[in-house]
Amino acid sequence: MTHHPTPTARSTRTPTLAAGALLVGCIAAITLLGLVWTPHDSIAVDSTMRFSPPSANHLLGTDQLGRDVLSNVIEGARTTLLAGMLATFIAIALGGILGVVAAVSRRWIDDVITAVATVFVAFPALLLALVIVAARGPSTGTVVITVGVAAGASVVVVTRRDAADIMRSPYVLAARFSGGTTFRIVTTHVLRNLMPSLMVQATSAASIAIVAESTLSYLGLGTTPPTPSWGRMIASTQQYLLVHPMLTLWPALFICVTVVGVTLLGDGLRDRLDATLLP
Amino acid sequence: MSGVARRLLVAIGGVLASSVLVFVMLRVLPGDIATTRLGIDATPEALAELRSEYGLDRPLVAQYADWMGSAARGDLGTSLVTGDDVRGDIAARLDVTIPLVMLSSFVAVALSMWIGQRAAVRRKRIFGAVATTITQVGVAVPTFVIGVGLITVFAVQLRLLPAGGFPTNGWRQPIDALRSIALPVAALAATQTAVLVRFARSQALDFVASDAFRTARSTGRTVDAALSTARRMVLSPVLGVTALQLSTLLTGAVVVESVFALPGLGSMMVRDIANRDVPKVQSTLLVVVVLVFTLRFIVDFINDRLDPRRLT
Repeated sequence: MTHHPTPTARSTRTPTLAAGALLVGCIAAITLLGLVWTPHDSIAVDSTMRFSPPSANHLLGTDQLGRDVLSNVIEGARTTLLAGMLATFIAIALGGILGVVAAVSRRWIDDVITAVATVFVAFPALLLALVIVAARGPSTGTVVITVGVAAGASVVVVTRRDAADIMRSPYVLAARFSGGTTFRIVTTHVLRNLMPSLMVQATSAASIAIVAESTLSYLGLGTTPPTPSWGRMIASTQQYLLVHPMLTLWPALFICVTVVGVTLLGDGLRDRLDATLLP
Repeated sequence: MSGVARRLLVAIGGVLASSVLVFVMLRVLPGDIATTRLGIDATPEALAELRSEYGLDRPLVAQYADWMGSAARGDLGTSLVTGDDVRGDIAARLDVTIPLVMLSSFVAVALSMWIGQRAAVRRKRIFGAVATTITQVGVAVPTFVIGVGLITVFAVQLRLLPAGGFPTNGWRQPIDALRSIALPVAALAATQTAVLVRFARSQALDFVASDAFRTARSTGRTVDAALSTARRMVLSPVLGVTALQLSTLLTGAVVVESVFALPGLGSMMVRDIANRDVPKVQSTLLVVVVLVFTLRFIVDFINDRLDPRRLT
C-alpha cells in the first residue's frame, strides 16, 4: 500500500479539523461524565422548584416540572451520541461491505446492489425513518436502524466507486500477477486504502443520524420518555419560549455544537486526506 | 426522444419506484395494520374480519395494484382512525404545503445566487469568508432548531411575526397568511440556501477565472456587470441541485409545519404517524412523492430552457 507521510505544514492549516475535534471532544467528555455522575436525577420531578433560575444547586435552572436542566442536557448527550455512533456503525459496516462486494463481483450482482442503493439514496434518511416509525411505532432503536440503513445507501455508492478505482490501480494489478486471490487483495489492499474515505463518510453518516434522532424526538416520533433527549426537551419547552427561553435554547445550543462539530470534523478530515490518501 | 418526453418518463418511473418502496416498507416489513388497530388482545375473528375489510388477506401484489389503481382514479382510501376520505384531508392541506415549498425554493435559489456570486468575487474579503463559514456550518444545523431560533428572535423578542398557526380563512386573508408563512419559509429556505451557495460560489469562481470574465472587465464593465453576463451559467447548476433536493425540501416541510403549527400535509402526516394510521400515511406519502417529481419536472423544464446544452 502506498504510504504518504503527513506533511506537517498542512496540519497547521486545517483549523476546521481542530475546531471540529474540539467540539466533538467536549460533547464526548460530557457524555462520559454523564455515565458516572450527573448533578441531579434527570427525571426527578420537584413541583416546588418549577422554572427556577440558574443557581449553585441547579447551574442551568430547572424546567416546567422542576427537573434539573443540566442533568437532562448531560443525559441527552448520551442518547444523541449513542444513536449517532450506532447508526454510523451500521451505515459504514453495511455500506462498506456491500460497496466492496459490488466493486469486485460479477456484473449482475454489482447492478442489483447499485440499483437498490440508488433508490434508497433518493429518499432522505429522515423521510425513510418517518415511514418506518409509522409502521413500527416510535423508538430510538427503530430510528438508529433506519437511519443507519438509509445513510448506508450512499456509503455503498461512494465505496463502490472508490473500491473500483483501487481495483484498477497498479499495485492491485501487481498483486494479481503475483497470484493474489480477490479475497486476499480486498483484505490487504482495498480495505486499507478505503479507510480514509470511510472515515469521511462516517462523519457525514453521524451528522445525518444525530439530526434525524433529535428531529424525530422533537416530533414525538423518536426517543420515548423517560429517556432524556435534546429533541424532546425542545418540544416540551417550546410553549414557554416567551417567559423561559433558556429552557429551549440550552438543548438547541447543544444540538448545534454537536452537529457543527461533527461536520467540521468531516470537512477537516476531507481537506486533510484529499491531497494525500483519498483514491 | 425529446427532452420533455424523457423527463416525463423519468418522473413516472420515479413515482412508481418510490411507491413500491413506500408500499414495501409500510406493508411488508412490520406486523400488520389489524393488530395495530385492534391491539394484541383482539380475537382472531375480529382480526380476520378487519383484514378482509381492508383487503389485507389478499396477495401483496394485488394489494399494491389495488392501491395504485384507486389512486390513479383519484381514490386515496379512508383514514383508519377517523374514517374520513383521505383525498379531502390532503386537498385541504395542499394550500399550505405547496406555497411553503415553492416560496422556500424561490427564496433559496435567489438568495444563494446573490450570496454565492458575491462570495466568489470577494472571497478574500470578510464577506466571502463569513458567507463560506456560515454556509459550511449552516448545512449541519437541523431545520427544527433553525425554526425554534427564528421564533425566539422574530416572534418572541422582536414580536414582528406570529410564532405559529395559520389564518382560518387561509389565503383569503392574504396578508395574515403571508405573515404566518414568512418564518416557516425562512426556516425551510435556510438549510437549502446553505446547500446551494456552495454550487453558486464554485460556478461563479470558475467564471471569474475565465477569459470571458476578463474580456467583460476589459470592455469597461464593473465586476457586478461582468458577473451578470454569466447569470445563466451560475443559475443552471443551482437549479439542477434544487431539483435533486426537492425530496429533502419536502421532508423539511414536514418538520417546519410541525414547528410552526401550520395546517399542512407534513404536520398532518406527523399526527397520522403518531396514530399509526398506516393507510393514510401510505396515501399521503404517495401524494408527497408525486409532488416531488412534479416540481422536479417543472424545475428541470425551466432549466432546460435556460441552458440548451442540457438537452443534448
